Amino acid sequence: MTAPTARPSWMERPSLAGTIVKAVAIAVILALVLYPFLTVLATSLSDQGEISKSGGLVLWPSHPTLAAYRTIFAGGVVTRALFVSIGVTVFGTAASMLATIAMAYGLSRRDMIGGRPILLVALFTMLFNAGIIPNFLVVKQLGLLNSYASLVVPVLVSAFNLVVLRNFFMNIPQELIDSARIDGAGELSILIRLVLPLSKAVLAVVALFYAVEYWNSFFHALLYLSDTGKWPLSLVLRAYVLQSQPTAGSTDAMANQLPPQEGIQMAVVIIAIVPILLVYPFLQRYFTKGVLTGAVKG
Amino acid sequence: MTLPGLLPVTILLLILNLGTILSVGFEQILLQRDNVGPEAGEVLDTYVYFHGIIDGAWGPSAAVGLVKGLIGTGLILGANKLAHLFGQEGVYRT
Repeated sequence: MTAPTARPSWMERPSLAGTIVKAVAIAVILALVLYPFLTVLATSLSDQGEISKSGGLVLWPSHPTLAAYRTIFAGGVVTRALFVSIGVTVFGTAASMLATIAMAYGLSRRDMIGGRPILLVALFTMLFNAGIIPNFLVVKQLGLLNSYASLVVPVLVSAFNLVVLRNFFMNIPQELIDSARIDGAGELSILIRLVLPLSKAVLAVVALFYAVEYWNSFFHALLYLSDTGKWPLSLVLRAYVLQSQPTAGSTDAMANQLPPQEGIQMAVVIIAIVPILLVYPFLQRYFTKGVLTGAVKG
Repeated sequence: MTLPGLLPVTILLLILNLGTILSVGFEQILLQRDNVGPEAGEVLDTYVYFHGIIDGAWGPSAAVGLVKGLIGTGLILGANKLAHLFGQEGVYRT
């Protein structure tokens, strides 16, 4: 991976055997991760003949076809679910960030009146969870059933992210904030013009945590949304997988007109995975300096 | 020195995750439960979901959820105490 010259001088050069062992280990792990992914991708691009020939799992499509993707996007259900998922993710992440930043900044100031009890209330949600039924009843009493707000409001502030952000804010030197105050800045402009620009890394990480949570939101949608027209992608994917389980081997007659069931399922899987996959690499570099700098000092 | 340096954060996350140790992957089990039948694939969370939300047996299901939450809380408190006994910082100090 690294050339010997890139190694610090006090380190020994790795032995040949060690390098080989490491390379094999990494290759095995890589294969374990990539194999299912490749299979899903290849199956989504295959036609029925190929899928039944290889027993349901294709590794390399010999005649790649986009028929499965055309079918699911023509149906309209997946397209709408995709917009629902994107909308919930975008608005949910924005709302969560707003609430978490405001709360974390307030709680990070040592002269905050009543800060301690508020923090303890937030921390208590990490300690104790009453379970599914009470949550459901609260959402029901709030009249949020069957609304997109039910996917956002109950998980608006995650206590873990709140603590990460608060600890990061607390590590910003008090002198910096005092200097801004001497220059005449109010709390809001201190937060927006001084604290937030200093916290870009941790903000990116927290936003990513929220976004992934909203994108993958499955159980909340299953609980609160009985109207299938409002389903996000994860629930539509589940419906596709469930509805096609008993039909194995019964599609020979129309094998070449309709795209195969497996292909459609895998195409939906790909659509659900790809956005996260596209975002992760760009935000990952913030991870090292982002989370831990905030979390180490309790 | 890397691992000892990571120890406090590792312990912190371990203790916090202990609280959800009884949530044994609800979504995967829910999705695959039909293939093995409820007698083989029922866990606390799916029990609460199917008996409470679907069948409307609110009382017993809420009790199951409460017990699960209490066990999680007990595990967090116990693990935190244990971390203190070993001279670690844990999640919090009282």
